[in-house]
Amino acid sequence: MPRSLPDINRRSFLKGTFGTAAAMAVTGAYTRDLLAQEDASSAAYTFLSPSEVPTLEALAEQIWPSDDTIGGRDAGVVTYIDRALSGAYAQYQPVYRLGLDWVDQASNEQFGANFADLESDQQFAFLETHLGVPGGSASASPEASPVTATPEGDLGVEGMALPAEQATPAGTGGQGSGSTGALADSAAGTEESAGDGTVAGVPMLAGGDAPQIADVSEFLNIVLTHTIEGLFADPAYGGNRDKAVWESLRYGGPYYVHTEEQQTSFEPLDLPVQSIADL
Amino acid sequence: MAQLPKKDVVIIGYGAAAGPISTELAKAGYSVVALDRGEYRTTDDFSGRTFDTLRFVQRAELVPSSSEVAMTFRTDDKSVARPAANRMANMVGGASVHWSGQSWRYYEDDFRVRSTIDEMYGPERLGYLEEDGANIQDWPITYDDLEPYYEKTEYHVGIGGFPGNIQGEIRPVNPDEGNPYEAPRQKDFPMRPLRDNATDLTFREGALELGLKPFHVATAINTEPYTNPDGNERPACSYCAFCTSYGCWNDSKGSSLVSLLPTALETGNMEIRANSHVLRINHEDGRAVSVDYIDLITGELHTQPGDIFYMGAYTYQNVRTLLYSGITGGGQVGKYFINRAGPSVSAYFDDRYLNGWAGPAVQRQGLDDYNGENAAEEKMQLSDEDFFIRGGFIGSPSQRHPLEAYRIHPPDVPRWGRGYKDYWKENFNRIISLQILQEPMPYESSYIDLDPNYVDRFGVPAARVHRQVKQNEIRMSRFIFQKATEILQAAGAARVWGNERPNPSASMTHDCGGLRMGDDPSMSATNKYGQLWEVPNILVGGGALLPTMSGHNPTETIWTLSYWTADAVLQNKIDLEDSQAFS
Repeated sequence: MPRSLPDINRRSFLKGTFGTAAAMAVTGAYTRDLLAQEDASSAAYTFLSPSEVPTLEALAEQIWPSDDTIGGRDAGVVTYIDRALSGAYAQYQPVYRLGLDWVDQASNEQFGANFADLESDQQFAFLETHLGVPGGSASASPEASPVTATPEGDLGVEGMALPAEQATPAGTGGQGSGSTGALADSAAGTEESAGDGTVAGVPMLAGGDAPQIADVSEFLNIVLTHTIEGLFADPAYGGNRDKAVWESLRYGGPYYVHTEEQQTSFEPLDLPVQSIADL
Repeated sequence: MAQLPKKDVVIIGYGAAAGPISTELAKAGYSVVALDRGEYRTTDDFSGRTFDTLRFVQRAELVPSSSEVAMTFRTDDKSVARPAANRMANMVGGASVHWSGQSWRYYEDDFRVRSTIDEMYGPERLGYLEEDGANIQDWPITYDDLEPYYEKTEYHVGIGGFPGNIQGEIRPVNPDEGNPYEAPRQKDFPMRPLRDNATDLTFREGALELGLKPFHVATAINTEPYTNPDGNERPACSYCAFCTSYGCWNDSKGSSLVSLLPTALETGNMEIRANSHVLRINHEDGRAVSVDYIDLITGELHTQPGDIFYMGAYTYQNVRTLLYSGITGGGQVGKYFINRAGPSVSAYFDDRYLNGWAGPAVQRQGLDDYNGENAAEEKMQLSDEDFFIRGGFIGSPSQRHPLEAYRIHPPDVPRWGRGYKDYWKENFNRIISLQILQEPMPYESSYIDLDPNYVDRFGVPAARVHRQVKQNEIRMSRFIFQKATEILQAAGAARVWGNERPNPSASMTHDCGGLRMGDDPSMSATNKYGQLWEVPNILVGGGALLPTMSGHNPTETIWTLSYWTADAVLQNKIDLEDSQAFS
C-alpha cells in the first residue's frame, strides 16, 4: 500500500524537513497505476456509439473553441464524458442516448443536416437557440445568474458543491446542470406545487429519481456542465489532455506547498503545470 | 435484532459537536459509544491523490446522498416540498472534516439580540419584524458563561488568530491587528492565523482605503507544529489549497476527527461505530432507553441501550431523528430554523494577478464593520423602508481552482463559446468572489418537520425544511451588497458585479436552529445546557441549539457548547431525571 508514504511525509513536516521533492515521491506510484488502467481502456469508447461521438465532439468544440490554445475536441472532453457515463454518471446513459438523438433531429429541422455536419456558424446559431447567449436567455436555465451561486458555494467555507445525483436536471426541479454547483439552484423548483409526480399516500425516495430531460435545451445544459468538467478536471479522467486546458488558464494544478513568495505575488506564478500523476 | 451491552453515553452521530463531549466524558471514565452513519476515514485517506476538484467539489464525495439523508425544501406552506441537496458529511468527524476552518467567538450581543435591538431601536422601528413573524429570543447564556469554554476549544482544536481584545485591551496596529470588535478574551490564541495572500492584500487595500478595519480571520489550521493540552500533536499547514470540501492530507486542519477523537480513543473508554445509521430513539416514561440502528455493512438492526444520549449529528438529522422517535417538545422540536442567504459580489482586476487557486479557501482577510450592530449609527439614518437589524461579515476567500471558479463571471459574459473561453484565459488568475455571511432571523414560518411524501431508503420520512426570506434580510442584503461592491472598487477592480437578492435554500452549511435553547419550555426545545425539556437524558449538540446565529461561522461555538454541556454533566449541574432541576 502506498498509504505509508504520506505518513513519512507528515513526520518530515513535523520536523521541518518537508519538501516538495519528498512529496512528489508519495503518490506517483498510485496514480501511475491508475493511469495505466485508464490508458488500457482509452482506445475505444465504452458507451458512446460511433455515430454519437462526432455530435458530442462538435458540441464540446463549440463550447470551448480552439484558438491559439486547445479546444474541447482535442482536449478529450468526449473521452471524459464517455468514461463518466460508463462509471460515475451511468444514470445519465439514457439521457445522452436520447439527447444526442434530439440534437440531430432538431439540427435537421433547423438546418437540414446532423449537428456535426453543420458549418461552425450554424452550430453556433443552433446552440444560441437552445443554450442562449449570453447567460442562457433562451433557456430556462437557473445558471442564468451564475454569480448568484458563487459566494454561496464558498459559504461554507465549509462550502460544498452538490453531489451529482442531487442536482439532476429534472429530478430536482430544473437545475440546469448535470452536477453540482449552484446551491441557489436547489430552490429553483420549489415554487412548483404540482406535477412532480408525488402521489398522496405513496412515499417517494428522496434523491432516488433518475435524471430526465424534457427538451434539447435541458440536455445541452447537462452537456455544458459535463464539458466544463472534462476541460477543467484532472487529466486522469480523460479530458484536459496533457494538462493543456490548465496550461491555457495559467493554472498550476495541484501542489502540496505554496510559498509566501508565490502567494504574495501579483504576477502570474507560471509554475510548471502539474496533475495528480505528477505529484 | 441484537441487544448490545449498555453504555454510559450513546452519541448519535459523530459530527463536530460530538468531539468535545465524548472526549471529556471518556477522559472522566464514562463508557462512550458513537454511532455514525458515515465511514471511518482517517488522514491516510487524504493525500496528493485526493487533490481532485472533480471528486471532492464537483461530485462532492464527502457529502451523503439524498437517498440516505433525505431532505426536502419549500419556501411556503402550500407547495409540495421538493428533494434538496444537503451539505452534511458522510464520515466520522462530520462536516468538521471538510470545513474551511474559519473560527469565531460570537460577540457579547450575539447572545442577546432581542435585548440589544429593543434597547437600541425601540418598538416603532422594529414593527416590521413582528409583522413578518420574527421570534427572536436572547440566549439563556451569555458570552461570559462561554468564555472559558471558547478558550478550551481554541487550545484543544488548535485555532490561530490575532487577538482583538485581551481582557478589555483593544489590541494594536497594522499589520498584525486583530478584530477590534471582538469580545474580551482572557488569553491570546495559541498561535497566529494563516498568512495573507494576494487576494487578501487586495481586499485589505480596498477596505483600508474606505477607513474600514480589516483583519485576518482566525482559523482552526495549524500555522506551526502544535501540541494541544491533551498531547495531540499535529503539523503546520503547507498551504496546499485543497482544504474546504476536502479532508486535510497533512493533519493540519483541526476537526473533531484529528484534534479530539485520538485523545478519547486513548482512554480506552471510547468506541467509534462507523457505518451505523441510527433510526430512532426508544423512550419510556419520559426517559430514553436505547437507540435502534442499522449496520450499513451487514444490514443488521441493532439496539444500543444507554444512560445518556447525545444528539451529535447535523441539524436536520438531529431534528429528524427526534421527530421520527415521537419527541416533539410540545411543538418546539424543528421550530426557528435559521440559515444563510445573502448577496454575492465578485470582481476581476486588470492591474494585477491574484492567483486565487494557490491557497486554501480560508486564507482570508475580512471585516465586521457591518456585522452585528457595528454599523448602527449608519443604519439609524436609513429610511424605515431600508432600515434593518443586525448585519454581516465580508471576507476574501481563495481556493479558486478551475472547477471551483467556473461560474464566477459577469452576467453578460456568455457561459459557453469563444466569449467564455476568452474571459477565462484573460481572467482566471484575476478574480475575487467575496464571502458574505448575513445574520438570518428566526421566524415562525421557518421550521423543519417530517415530509409526508418523501422518505429515505430506510423508509424514514425526509426532513422537510421551510425557509422564507423576509424584509430584514432583503434590506440587509441590499445594504451589504453596496458596501462589498465599494470595497472591491476601492481596491481597484476593473469590473465588479453580483446579485443583491438573497436566495434561500435548504442547506447552506450554516444551518442552525430547530432545537433552540432557552429559559422557557414553551419557547424552546432545551434548557441552557442543551438538555431536552421533554426527555431529560437526551442532550443536544450542534447548530440546532442556536437561538440566533450571528454573521459568523458557527463551528467554534458548536464545539464550545459541547464543552459547556460536558461540564454540566461532569459537575452535576443538570439532573438527568428532570430538565427543570439544573443549576
